[in-house]
Amino acid sequence: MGAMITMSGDIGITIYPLALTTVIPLLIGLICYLLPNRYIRNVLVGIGVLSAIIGGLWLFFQLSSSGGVITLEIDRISLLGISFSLFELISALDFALLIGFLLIAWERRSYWAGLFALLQLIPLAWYEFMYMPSHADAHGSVAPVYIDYWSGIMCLIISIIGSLIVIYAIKYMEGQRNQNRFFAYMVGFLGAMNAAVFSNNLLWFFFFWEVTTLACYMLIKHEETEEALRNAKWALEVTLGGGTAMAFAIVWLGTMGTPVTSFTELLQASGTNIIPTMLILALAFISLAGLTKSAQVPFQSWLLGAMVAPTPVSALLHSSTMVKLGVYLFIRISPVFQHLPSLGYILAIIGGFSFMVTAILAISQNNAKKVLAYSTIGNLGLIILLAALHTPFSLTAAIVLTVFHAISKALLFLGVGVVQHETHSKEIENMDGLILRKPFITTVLLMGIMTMIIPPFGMFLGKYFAVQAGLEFPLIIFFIAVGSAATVVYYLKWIGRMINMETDAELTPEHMSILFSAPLVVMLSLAVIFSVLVAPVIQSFINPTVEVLGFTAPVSSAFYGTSVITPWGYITPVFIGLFLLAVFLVPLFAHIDRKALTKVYSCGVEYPTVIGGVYFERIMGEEKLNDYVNSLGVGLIAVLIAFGVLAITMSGVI
Amino acid sequence: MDFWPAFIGFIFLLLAPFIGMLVIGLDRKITARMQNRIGPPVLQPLYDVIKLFGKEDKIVNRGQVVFAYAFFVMVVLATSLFCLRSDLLVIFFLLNAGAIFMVMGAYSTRSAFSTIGANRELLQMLAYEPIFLLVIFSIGYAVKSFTIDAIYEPLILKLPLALVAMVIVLMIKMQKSPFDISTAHTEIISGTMVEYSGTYLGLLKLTHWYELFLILGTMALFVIIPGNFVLSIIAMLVLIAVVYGIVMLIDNITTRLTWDALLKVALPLGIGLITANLIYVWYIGGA
Amino acid sequence: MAEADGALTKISRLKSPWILHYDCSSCNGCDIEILACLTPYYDIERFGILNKGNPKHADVLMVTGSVNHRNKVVLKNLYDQIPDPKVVIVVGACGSTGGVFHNCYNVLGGVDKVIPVDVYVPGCPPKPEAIIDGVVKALEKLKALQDGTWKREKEKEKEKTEKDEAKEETEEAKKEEE
Repeated sequence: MGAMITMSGDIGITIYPLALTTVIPLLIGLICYLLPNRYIRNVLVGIGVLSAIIGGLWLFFQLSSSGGVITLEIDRISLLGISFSLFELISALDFALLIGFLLIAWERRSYWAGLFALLQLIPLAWYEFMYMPSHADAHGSVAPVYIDYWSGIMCLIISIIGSLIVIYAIKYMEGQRNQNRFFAYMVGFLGAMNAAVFSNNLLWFFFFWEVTTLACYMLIKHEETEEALRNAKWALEVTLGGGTAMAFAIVWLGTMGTPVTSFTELLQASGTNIIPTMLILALAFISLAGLTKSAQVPFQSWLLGAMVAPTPVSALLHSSTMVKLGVYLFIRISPVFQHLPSLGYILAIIGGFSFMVTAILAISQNNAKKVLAYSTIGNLGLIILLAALHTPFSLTAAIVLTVFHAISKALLFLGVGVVQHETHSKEIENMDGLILRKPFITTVLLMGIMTMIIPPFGMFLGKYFAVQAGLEFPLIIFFIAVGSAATVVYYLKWIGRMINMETDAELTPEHMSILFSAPLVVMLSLAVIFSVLVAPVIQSFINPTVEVLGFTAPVSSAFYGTSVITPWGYITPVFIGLFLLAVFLVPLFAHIDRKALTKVYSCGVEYPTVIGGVYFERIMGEEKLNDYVNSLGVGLIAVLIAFGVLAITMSGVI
Repeated sequence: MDFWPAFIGFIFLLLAPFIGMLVIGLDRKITARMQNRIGPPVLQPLYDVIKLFGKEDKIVNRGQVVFAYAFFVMVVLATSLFCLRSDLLVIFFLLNAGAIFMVMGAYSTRSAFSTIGANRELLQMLAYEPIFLLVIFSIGYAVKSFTIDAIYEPLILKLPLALVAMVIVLMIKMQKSPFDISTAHTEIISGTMVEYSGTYLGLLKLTHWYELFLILGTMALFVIIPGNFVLSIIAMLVLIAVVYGIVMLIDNITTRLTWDALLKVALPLGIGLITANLIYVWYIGGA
Repeated sequence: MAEADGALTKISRLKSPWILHYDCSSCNGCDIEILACLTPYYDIERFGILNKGNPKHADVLMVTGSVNHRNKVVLKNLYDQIPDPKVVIVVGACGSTGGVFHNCYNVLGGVDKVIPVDVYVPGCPPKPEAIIDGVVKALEKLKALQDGTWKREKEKEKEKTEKDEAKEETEEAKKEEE
């Protein structure tokens, strides 16, 4: 690499893991597109994910040895004798992408997508071709690549969880058409996501953001059915709308008195005594972009429609990684909310409202993937709520939730994918008594759901932290209380359909390919181990992240890392985990006397029991609630935008 | 940890099931007297449970046994944490986990009554969990900490309405009319407990005693006067007598609500009470 | 079963007998009298007796009405689902022998044609006092059962066959030695 590419500026050894996590997957994605041969493609995909994992771990290791922050100034790249600026390369690619979106809009006859693409193209073109050359300081003087612990954690999530999902996808997509296109976008997406979390420069971040939008569109429409095309178009329209908001925000930020072209400058500018009013408007619009990406209310319909995509897509894009980009954005800009608390509170209410409402709506769903989609939206709302509360403790909670949600939700999606692959159905009603037919996957799903709702696991810990964080802004506690109760209801209903068995039959584990079972087992082990050892995890990964973001870490651990101490309470996950283990292992292997087995009570008659699920559509169904939910959501977004607009008119009051 | 509080906590842990049992026994006796009958002896629940432990095992599948044990362990863990004056939020979530395991055990048998009971139990959880969590949150908000040993004055001074909301939780948890759809005896024959017999039913009833102790204990926290042991005990007994008396009275004169009526009555009432209380605490400077 | 239990368990069994009440094909006269026992006037709850609708929770099976070809299956199912130790009380003439219906084409006769019965309470319908007397007798039988002083016919036969088989085995073993 050294002979062909020379770079100017301060780079250091970090360029290697950086390339491993971003450039290699993007390149491999490109090559996969052109390769029809299955075996070479699978090998390449394997190499791609391996490079992402190694790069991610190496990068994290480097981070801890360089104090938690690494910045890289990459100005120019010389490739084979031609020298070009990375800024120009990304700008060119960005415009190409936008023109690509226009072409897609033309092809699909989507007016909204075309409109949004134009609305992004024109201001950005003006900004880059007319404003920037005439203003010398428009480029900013900050390093475009900024890697801190938060980027490091996101990179690890993307690389490790994403890689497990891609490996799973190799088996899942066996025998389907257009696999070269599928894997191109899956692996390329990993690289783009990694690049996004490393970008400090707003234009670079925006480019990779739109690349993920493209990947999302391409992957949702992969199966080319009528439904898939329709839902892909809708997803594209909503996420392009968010992108437009971000484009406006970037242009406004770049044309201010002291231009803001990167996140570090954004945080600096909002820390001043008098916050520029355009900054507030831009922040409102950036928040709007984050909300569309994370499918918060009222934008949740695109994520629900995206469930028609193949399950690895749902796992990768729509639960663990792409929708986390919105959450990443909120945590990245969270120090801003210290100086703009009202904006934070509005966002907290939007997030909390999403959490509560999606939990209630999920009760009435009988499609397993839709249930998981609602759950994802809800948990993302919870994370946004915590990030917007801008206290050290709520940030810790947000990061803990992000990590554990990525693992657990990917696990659940992959499990449902296996069920769909084997039984060709995603309906919960068809999973009736699944434990007798497929005990292994049912156990995996059962344990996955237990990691979501039961102490001592990670997601429970997130809720525990969230309730404690509510001490600082009590309004949100109502959302959390109702939402977490509803969460238990819909998960248990689903579990109940799966685990009912008439009598103590011998359960023989079903035969499953290693490419299915290995990612599931690894993810389950990660979920369990990280949950039980959460105190050291918080101590070594999350507290440094919180500190790097500018706060003092509030959560500590004690008793050799077995208990977690917060400012208002404490919990010992190891202790609880041991009890849980004992109570499950001991009776499971106990001997059951055959004589003791008896029939269920059906009033003595011999008719077989037919059991169906309940979905409470009358009170909690989508038809009943969607109108209220969406109107309230639109109202909240209007408040958000109004906040930004009013800031200009009432300059600096807020 | 100081010796005396730990010792008292340990004694309470040992006495917990007996306290639960006595309250349930008194409940049956006084209910009978209200209905102009003599009623069973006060120690009747003890005889019931010991008889159950002496019965033959008859189960449907292994899963329900595992979940029954899980329920028991979680509740006992929560009680021991309560007696060690630990974090109230953890106790709440452990109780929750216990109820979750109970519902899983009910679902794991392929029985119509059990499934309907489990569905209704879930709806009940949707009703009482938010209220319980909000009560604990308001305690944390008033005291600035969730651990029990941080409570420095009787909570009833600041949180009277939260105590009333806690009564609703008590009624739902202990299956008292009008909130007893989950074990509606005449409709679904004890719902979630239908397929349990013998030892495991005894275990469920024992766990029920522990749960009663925990909920009454949480209510007792409202009247504990730190530092004055005797007065606290007297205050707790008076409170439990008054509260349980009112609950028994309402139980005997009301009929059962359907599940949507339950949600429409219990949730707004509970949340409304807590909201009013939280506004009060914020106003007087608790924040 | 019975001898190994502690004293408290034995006392508790007698102090808390839970009833499963099943109506085979009764005219409901006996059933009304049984339910009358639960009213404040007679109040059998003071003996710890509860009317459970679930065989898995019950100790005492109270049967009324005569058995016919359809409900013999149900009766057997319910009886099997009740965990030991259990007693069966038959209330009314129809359950004891078939009553006025005992020659009908669909009636098998009394309940003892299907399951072993411990106490018969004759009457058409028997008074609540008689029913309570029957329950007391059933509890005495339960006490004898758990003290080991009395065994049911079926158990006696089972023990006899087990003893015979054991005798045969020892004889065969002796023969092989020789």
